Amino acid sequence: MAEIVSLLYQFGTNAAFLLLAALGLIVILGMMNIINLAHGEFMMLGAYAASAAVHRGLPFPLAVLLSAVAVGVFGIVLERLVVRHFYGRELGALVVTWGISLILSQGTLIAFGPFMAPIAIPGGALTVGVYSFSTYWLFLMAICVVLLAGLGWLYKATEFGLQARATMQNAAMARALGIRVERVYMITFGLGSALAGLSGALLAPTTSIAPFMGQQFVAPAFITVVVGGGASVIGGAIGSSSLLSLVETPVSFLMGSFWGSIALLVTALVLIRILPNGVSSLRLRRRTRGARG
Amino acid sequence: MSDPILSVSGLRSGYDAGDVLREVSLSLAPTEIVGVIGRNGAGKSTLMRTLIGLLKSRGGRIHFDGAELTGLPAEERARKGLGYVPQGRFIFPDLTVHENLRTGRFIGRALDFELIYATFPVLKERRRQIAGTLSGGQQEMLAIARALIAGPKLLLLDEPSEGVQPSIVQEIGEALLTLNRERGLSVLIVEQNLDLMQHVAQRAYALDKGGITAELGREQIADEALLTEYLSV
Ligand SMILES: Nc1ncnc2c1ncn2[C@@H]1O[C@H](COP(=O)(O)OP(=O)(O)O)[C@@H](O)[C@H]1O
Ligand SMILES: [Mg+2]
Repeated sequence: MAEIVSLLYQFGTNAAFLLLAALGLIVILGMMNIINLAHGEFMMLGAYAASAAVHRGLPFPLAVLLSAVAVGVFGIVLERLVVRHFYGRELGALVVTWGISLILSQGTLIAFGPFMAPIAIPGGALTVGVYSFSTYWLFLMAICVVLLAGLGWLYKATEFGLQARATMQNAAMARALGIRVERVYMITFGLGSALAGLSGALLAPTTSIAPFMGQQFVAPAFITVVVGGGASVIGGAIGSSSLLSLVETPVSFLMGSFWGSIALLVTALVLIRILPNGVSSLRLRRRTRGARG
Repeated sequence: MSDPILSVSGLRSGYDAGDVLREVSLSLAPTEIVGVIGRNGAGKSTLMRTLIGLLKSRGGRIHFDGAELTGLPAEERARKGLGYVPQGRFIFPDLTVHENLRTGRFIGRALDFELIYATFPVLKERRRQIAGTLSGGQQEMLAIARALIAGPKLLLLDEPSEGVQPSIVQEIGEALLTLNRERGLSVLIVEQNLDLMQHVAQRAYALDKGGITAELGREQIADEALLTEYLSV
């Protein structure tokens, strides 16, 4: 019994980590077709902002919110000044966001040195049998559910969401209907940045805070995105993060976290071979078949 | 005659390879339905794209409903009451019919679902359906409805009959005439289907090699042989 709870907890932890790491990247890629290579550095900025705020005596939840807003605003400024000039040129956007990532990590190194004092994991532990579980990770799992529900609501139920989906499907047509596509892009980039900042801040207590910490998030984030596919942005994220952690969790449990990461990579490779358009293409395929039949 | 709702003078535009439209001038009075005919590659779609602003003009002026459109991006032109239905329809395939209709709200004032559902009842039946699964004719009706739902002053309609079954072409023609009569809608319509053109157009321009070569009145539009000549390669 305790083993099962422990395995479920590990599964939840892995899935939550993948989702948090990927969410901001997914929003920007899915809605704008821009690969934001500075995503990891946006998370790093969120972690820095949150720990700086906590060290100055702010309560952790407030520090997290503040970091999300700050990185979101920073993202909007970058979008207006730099990124928007590269829309429609995928390679250009790739290079420019990579440049931004280098500047951010090197700049942070110069400004704050190689390490930032860590912050403590909030909350305590729950004990089941011989296992103990961090309440903070349970909280992060709940946050993931809230974030996904919130994004689903934003894109399915609001006027902004409708404009964003129309823009994603055909930007020129959206323009011809009076949708201010530039503004949709600006808000989307800001939202993706804010999500990265939020995730960075939330994960800050669980890791060491350093200028190059973004890199540890980028690989899992990209794997989650690629496995998820573009057919349904949020559905893909949920599907791929749970599938991947479904494999990673038991392997880590039996053989250690190194082999867990290897299993994650292998699963991603296999899934991409079987489903080149990602997990979300499964749902879409079924839907179009149903409509024809 | 009252002030034109649309007046275009010396319009030039094109693509990387060079100009397609060469000094196009035309005008349209309020509540007029005006056709544009010309063979494939004459520049009809290029004209429509330049009018809505998806293609930048390289010279000339576009005046619409008391405002200068030249230099405005497409989204601002649409917001002045210009509805655009592209050749090939370009509905949003992954949105539902109802969601597609809602995207038309910026073209005018409030969304008028009643008017749209009265005009094209099939869209009401299918309002929850994913638009990409509609038939060609239904998609065309949806594209027109999307441009009409907020009450534009002028509708730019590019080959609505293309790939659409005859009964629906007829339905579209009737809808245009009714909206024109009852709501004072003005329409600039590009069409190769002679029946539809003859049915709805009060006047027409012949376009060839990017320039206006003739202006046709009612009687000339009724002359099937003459129209065929303008369309023939
Ligand atoms: N997107 C495009 N890029 C480059 N050239 C184009 C494009 N669209 C159309 N053209 C060219 O412009 C000319 C006019 O095309 P178009 O306006 O589509 O004609 P029509 O609608 O009258 O058939 C043609 O020679 C066509 O090849
Ligand atoms: Mg054409």
